[in-house]
Amino acid sequence: MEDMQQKTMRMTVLRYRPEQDKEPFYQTFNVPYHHGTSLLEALFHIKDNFEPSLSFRWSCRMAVCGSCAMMVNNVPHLACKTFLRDYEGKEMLIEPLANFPVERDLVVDLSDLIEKIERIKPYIIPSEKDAKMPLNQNFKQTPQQMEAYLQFAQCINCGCCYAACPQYRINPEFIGPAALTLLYRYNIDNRDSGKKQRLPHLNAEEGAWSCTFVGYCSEVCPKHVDPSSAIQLGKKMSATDFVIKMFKPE
Amino acid sequence: MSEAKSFRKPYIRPVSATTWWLKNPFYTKYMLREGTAVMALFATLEIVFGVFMFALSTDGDPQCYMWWVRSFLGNPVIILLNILALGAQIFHMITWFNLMPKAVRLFMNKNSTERVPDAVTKIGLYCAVAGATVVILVAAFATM
Repeated sequence: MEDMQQKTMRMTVLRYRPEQDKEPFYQTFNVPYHHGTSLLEALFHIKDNFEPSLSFRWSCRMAVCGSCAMMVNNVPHLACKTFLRDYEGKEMLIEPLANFPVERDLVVDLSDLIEKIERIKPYIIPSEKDAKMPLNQNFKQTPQQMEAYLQFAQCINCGCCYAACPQYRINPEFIGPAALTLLYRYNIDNRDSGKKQRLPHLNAEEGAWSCTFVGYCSEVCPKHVDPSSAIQLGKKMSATDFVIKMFKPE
Repeated sequence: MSEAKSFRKPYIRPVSATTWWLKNPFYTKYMLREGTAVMALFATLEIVFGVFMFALSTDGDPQCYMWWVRSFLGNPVIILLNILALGAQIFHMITWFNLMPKAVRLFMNKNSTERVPDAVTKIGLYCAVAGATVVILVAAFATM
């Protein structure tokens, strides 16, 4: 019965209304919660009961869509996967995802993330031979070939890793953890033949070599993708490509 | 044509290029790991200095080199700095080796989906350090 007991959480939320505010300000709410209350539900409670104008993004409510990433006490989290019970006895500071421009309240502009993910061609590019494969045939893949990339394919493009990355904060040109992870994921997929098109992005100044292995992206990733692992493996791929090109220039 | 007026005014939060690493203990630990490079630089310069003093010494007169060994290395401040440098390197080794399994992705055999455990990578690295240390110590004491 203790689990059902109602408690109160003091939550401070960053507010920004572009049509009237010069800069963001903070607003504090006392939100009732019980054992199962998620941060997303707490934000709904604020919107329904205290502040109807509060804006935030959400969709699936179950850590699949990647819409509700935000900063909780300066750490990137998915609001739907964060529970108030884990902050019992503390206060919560809710801010929009770091390292992105604030559009309104907890909504950020993720255009830069989307552009970077698009840049690395995050889809299977079949070889000329496979592209002509009849529809009643399919690609073959062993369990090991699948296991090699599967973890990196769990990315939901929520942007938590970009908010965690100090390199991206200081140098916004850096292509970033999620894009580099997806680049590596498609390059090692045995059904793919687009490696040549993606390698220039991996080898570039703003590619894998701009990562200094802080490792915080892997710490905060809500899907346990481990981007920093993919980036280090990407560095190996980039170095191998460099050596091959020394002996075999195109 | 829509008559709606856009109120878009994206706010870019200020970023401090110098104090960001103090805001999160994870970043601070990372900077400590990277900061051990300062002590590594000290140790390198110390050895370069020793090589330089050795080059200045002649067979009949090893005065310069002996001064480096006795007076320079024997100085309590230098001894303390060397102990600090050793501590920094050990901290760097432990934190770096903890990260290394992320750069290794091998399978047990060509049909298995089971990956080589992280501990194997770490144990391998510690064995390499132990081996290198033994070789250096043997080489150092064998010439005495």
